[in-house]
Amino acid sequence: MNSPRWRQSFAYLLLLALLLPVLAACGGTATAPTTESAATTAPAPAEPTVAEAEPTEEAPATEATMDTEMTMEPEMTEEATEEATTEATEDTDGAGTGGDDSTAVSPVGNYLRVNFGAEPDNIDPQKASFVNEIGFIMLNYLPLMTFNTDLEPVPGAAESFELSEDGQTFTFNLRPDMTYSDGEPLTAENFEYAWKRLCDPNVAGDYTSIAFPVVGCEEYYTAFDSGEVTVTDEAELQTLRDGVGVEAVDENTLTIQLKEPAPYFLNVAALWVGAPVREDLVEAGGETWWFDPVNYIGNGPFQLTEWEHQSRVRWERNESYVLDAPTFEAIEGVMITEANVAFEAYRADELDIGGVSSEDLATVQEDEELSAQYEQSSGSCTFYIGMNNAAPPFDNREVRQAFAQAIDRESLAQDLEQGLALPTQSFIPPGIPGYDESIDLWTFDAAAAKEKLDAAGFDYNQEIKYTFSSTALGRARAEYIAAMLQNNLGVTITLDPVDPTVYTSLFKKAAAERPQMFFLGWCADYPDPQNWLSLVFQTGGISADRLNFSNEQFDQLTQQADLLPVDDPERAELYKQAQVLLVEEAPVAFVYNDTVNSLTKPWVTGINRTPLDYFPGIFDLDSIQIRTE
Amino acid sequence: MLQYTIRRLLWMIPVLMTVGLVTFVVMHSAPGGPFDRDPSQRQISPAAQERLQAKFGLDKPMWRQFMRYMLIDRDVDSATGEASWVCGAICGNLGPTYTSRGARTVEDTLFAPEKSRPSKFFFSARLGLQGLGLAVLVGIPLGIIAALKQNSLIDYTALFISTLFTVLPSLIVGLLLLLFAVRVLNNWNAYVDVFGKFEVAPKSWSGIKPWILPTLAIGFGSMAFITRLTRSSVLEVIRQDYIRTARAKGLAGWTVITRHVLKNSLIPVVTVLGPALAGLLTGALFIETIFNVPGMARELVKAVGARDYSMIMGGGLFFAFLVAFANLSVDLVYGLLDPRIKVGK
Repeated sequence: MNSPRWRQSFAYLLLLALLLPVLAACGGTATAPTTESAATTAPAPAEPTVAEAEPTEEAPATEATMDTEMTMEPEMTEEATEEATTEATEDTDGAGTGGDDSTAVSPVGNYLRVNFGAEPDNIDPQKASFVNEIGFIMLNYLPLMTFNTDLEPVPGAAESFELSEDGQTFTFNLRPDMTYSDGEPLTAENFEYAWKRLCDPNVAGDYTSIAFPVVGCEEYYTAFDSGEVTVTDEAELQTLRDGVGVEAVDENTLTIQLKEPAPYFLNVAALWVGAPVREDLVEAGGETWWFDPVNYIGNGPFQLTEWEHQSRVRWERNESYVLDAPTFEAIEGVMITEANVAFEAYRADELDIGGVSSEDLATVQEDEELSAQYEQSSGSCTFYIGMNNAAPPFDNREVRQAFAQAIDRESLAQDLEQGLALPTQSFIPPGIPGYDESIDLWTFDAAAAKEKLDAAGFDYNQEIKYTFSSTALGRARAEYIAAMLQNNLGVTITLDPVDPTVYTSLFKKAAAERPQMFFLGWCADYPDPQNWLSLVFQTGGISADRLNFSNEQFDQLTQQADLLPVDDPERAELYKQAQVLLVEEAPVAFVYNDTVNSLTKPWVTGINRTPLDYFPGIFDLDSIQIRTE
Repeated sequence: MLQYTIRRLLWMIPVLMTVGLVTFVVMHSAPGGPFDRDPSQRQISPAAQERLQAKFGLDKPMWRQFMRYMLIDRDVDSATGEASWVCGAICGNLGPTYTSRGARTVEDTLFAPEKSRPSKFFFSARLGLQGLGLAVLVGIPLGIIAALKQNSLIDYTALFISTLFTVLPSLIVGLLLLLFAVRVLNNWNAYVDVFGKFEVAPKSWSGIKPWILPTLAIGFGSMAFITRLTRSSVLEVIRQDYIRTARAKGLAGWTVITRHVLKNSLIPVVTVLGPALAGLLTGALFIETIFNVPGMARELVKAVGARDYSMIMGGGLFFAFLVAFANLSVDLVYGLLDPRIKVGK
């Protein structure tokens, strides 16, 4: 053997030396050494995020609830010339760009760099339904209506509108002399085409059901279901298409006829589904007309000009936009799907706006500079613990109320969701019309809840089955909630994990056999109490059906309100009463809202966020300022 | 030789069918489907779901869906009542992607070049070949040197590095490299500016710089493997009698190494290039996501999350084909290198 001992010792030493940074990385996760330049400590914060990256990525689409909602927040990115990036580097050296930020200047110019996350797979407005798809559409198109930052519907491409006496016909007066970004005129006929296309069964849009209040839309959309009409019956299909109650009366006037009075339809007119796509371009481009920006000509605040799929997109400001134009010239987007990587890109000044995932939250909060750039705003979803109102013990109102009161929502939001959720006791989330902050009926009080449960004659020997979809997240939540209820009420909760596919189908069973207890939520389609209370909790509504909930008084209140014009104060009052009643009846225990967690560089100001933001500050783009000097 | 090649090519068909079958079964046993939406949101209406299922043939029995995807199916258009033959993957039809609601096919997504740049396949191929190049060009010399200087400092260092990268998954190597470049190298630019600034998400693919980090991240694993293999193989060969004979007859040390040692010790190394390619492909699944490479593997990762069945099947089959093809090439080269092996006999 010709191996002197010292060589072995040296090898061990080398091994140790090289392992040190790895060990340091495992240990020192909490601190974010932004200003440290020592090679050994710099990579430290990476390690822990790595470990968690995989499960998040793999989360099945069905259990997209809190997780995806939060990471979907559009993050940012940008491109730059070589000189510009060099400048940026110098900026981030040393103390970075934080501290006194009133003078911080964009390293690249008067445009916004964002991360769009996952690349949208189809941005055809009449087909799309995913958040990332809608973001692209709403930057590129302006529908008849739009929203203000209070999320009330306000005129968009339409200058004004009238609602007929019977509440069934909307007449939209379009702004005169509108054009698409390429200079082609935009008239009522473009909108007529778009709305009829939405109802087209051959287009088979994901979200068409939202337009079913329009006369003839449902009939046209479901034409093939009876089997009597086929693709080849062109005359028959044309008749159905003509039967859709959307008509361009003249160049600047569009009427939409509804099956029944539905004033809330104004909100639907502000959604992406009615974006005025252009017939000539759709026809020319075929199925994939939207794939190349050449055909994706819109009338929105920005015009998509470049799209290198899976890498980057660029929007230029649309100079013919009819509303107040944004002050910044362009949007540069990248598609980074890995949250850790996007976070690094933000820290490296490659993005002006970034998202914060749960694993990065601690880093952000402990870093002085980052925490100053951090903002939490409310999202558009409310999550609840559901109870089967048709079967014992939850057919007893007092039992449901006791459960609702026995839930410590603060601790759920803080400990289980790591501060990425906001506790709530009511249904409509903050920031959406109809939000009622005065509702505090079920403020956590274990003793009172226990008393109520005793008074209700609850049989403590029974076991309550909590059904959840067996993902890592679902299990953690189930265990937390079950332990909380067991501690606070002394009830016995058994956990019933089911396959995520099965989860949805469980609610299709007969009323009494549906899950006894479960966790679910609702996210806004459009920001109106009707979309929350009537659609979801009226007898037969989306959640009411899963819960077997039916309350005559609630139905009356909401049905009455549904018919009133959106600006009628009585409407708001009726919905308010309905929501109070809903919370009091406690068919479910509302627990928390999701949140949007974002970081914004100090040179970007004036982002007025709403829970519905398809893009940061999209309903008030003109107030966004980027400091360039 | 030709006969052998043809036979091997034909053998690929059952291999790919098996891969397809396994993928199909695993994929369909995973929870969720392509038209599921978040249960907390508006669902696609049942009528539309049925139409989509019918459009993509998902309403048919499983065995028929499989046959339709892989081979051939007789399809009766529910609307027109006209029957026609649909040829599947065997004809190169990898099916419509569900995420695009059928607007784009898998082959378009993977192989169609875009206006200003090559297709996703080329991005992945370039990354893979660069990684393989790194593995071979660095791994083999390092292994040889380590073997020739056995138990020296250089040997221990090489062994350490190769052990490290064998053990660390490419996912972690990738993230560490990214952090090192962005947080450390970029801060050194003021003193020694070699590459310029590294971007977390580079936007241009024409230069060399954006490729450095992903290539390193994807190549290190295979490089480590090849280094170890070369080292042990060379160590074995230099102990052979014929090497002693070569030295004894007075050949210069260098000639012995190039003529005799290398030629014989590289045979096993060539053999593992096929499996090494498989390693590169699986590594690409993570590396492309971390470094934002618009490649095939990233599409595949996305498809798994979205239950985009045709993309999972199509991508999986294509990867399997690549590995099978690489193994065939290696076997043919093997026969050329080692006179003891007669390919096809």
